[in-house]
Amino acid sequence: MATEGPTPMERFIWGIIPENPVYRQLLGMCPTLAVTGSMKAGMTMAAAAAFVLICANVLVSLIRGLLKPHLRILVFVLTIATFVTIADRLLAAFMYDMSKELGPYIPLIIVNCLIISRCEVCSSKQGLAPSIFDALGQSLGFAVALASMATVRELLATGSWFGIPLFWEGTDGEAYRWVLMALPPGAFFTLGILLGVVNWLGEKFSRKGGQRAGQPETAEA
Amino acid sequence: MINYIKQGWLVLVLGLAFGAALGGVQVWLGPTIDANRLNETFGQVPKLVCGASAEVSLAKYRERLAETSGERASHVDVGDSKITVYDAYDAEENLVGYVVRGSGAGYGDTIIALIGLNRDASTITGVYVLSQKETPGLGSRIADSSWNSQYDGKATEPPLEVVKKAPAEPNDIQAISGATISSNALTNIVNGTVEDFRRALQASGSGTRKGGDHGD
Repeated sequence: MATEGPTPMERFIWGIIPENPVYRQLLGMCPTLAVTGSMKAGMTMAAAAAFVLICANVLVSLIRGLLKPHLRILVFVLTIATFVTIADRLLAAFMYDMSKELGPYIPLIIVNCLIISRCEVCSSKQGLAPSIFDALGQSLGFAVALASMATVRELLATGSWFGIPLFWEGTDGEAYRWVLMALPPGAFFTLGILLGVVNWLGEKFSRKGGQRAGQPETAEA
Repeated sequence: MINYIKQGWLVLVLGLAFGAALGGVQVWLGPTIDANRLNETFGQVPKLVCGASAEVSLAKYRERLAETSGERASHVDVGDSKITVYDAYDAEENLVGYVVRGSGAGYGDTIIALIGLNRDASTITGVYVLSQKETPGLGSRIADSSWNSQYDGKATEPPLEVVKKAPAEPNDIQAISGATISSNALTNIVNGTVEDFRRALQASGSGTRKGGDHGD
């Protein structure tokens, strides 16, 4: 167990942009591609993933002293699977329509590498405070990434945002103007272009400001 | 053995604790989730069967659920398989029709549909798609009422047929352009389910399904 690690605040900040789960670590690609067809679906996914990530990080951090190195992954998966099932049941009980729309993608949070990588990188090595802030930062980063994808795709596909028509009124059955953006190819195009933009901006930023202080460690997963 | 327990006790303890937690969650939320499913189905009953009341149908369903101790309240045997049927009652508790649940393979995933039928199952009174994963903007239009209202008022005999041009025969359903497979899939589900249900209805005798449990 590392005695000194990044501080809670560093963990929090890193999760949002410098170590953004989607744009920097390229983790959690499945929901990023699959459920960003609309803002509603994307944000529900972000909230469910945040719930699981925070709960798993807290629990793993609390029991980190008891972990056996060769059984740790098993414990992580067990913990994550439990919280995912709880999240899935909660959605089915209180947001039934959303639960139907997201379908299998909620149970699939279990295999979202973002969460297991945070257990491995942070919460199994650090105390409660850094783990919570790490989970909050990464969740926020994930939400920002999903929101950016979903905004682009929903606007281009249906001209609406959060289901509110902005550019044109879709009539029954003719809500789609650029249906490709709502389909899987649209997800790949959007992700590729946004990744390029984020990398380009990052490069520009780091050239201008020189080496950033507190360059984050590279992700291990 | 002792070594295994030493190594694995945390996994065992966590497994038990998580299992108990999930059991608790299921006990807490299970009824709400079931109610959501039933409400979704019964919420469609008035739209699918003319004159039916969602509240009365649901109340009657719950009554029978209690009588049959939850087992087969809505199942009708068709040969080896079962189909799910919900009776539709009007506000005066008269049986006015049936809502039959049908499913089958679509272009994307399984399509699940509710099919409204009148009292003697001679006419389709409405179709509602409960769940589908067809191509957005094309096949997904099978769930739009602007398209699937075509089924309303169709006779159940002869079977419906999907056509690509404007419908000429009374049993023609016009395909969604660019989504013939989805249109065919839903129509096949409707035809197959209706046929099964009609057979079951005839087998149980003269249009009354559960001998006399609904007075006229």
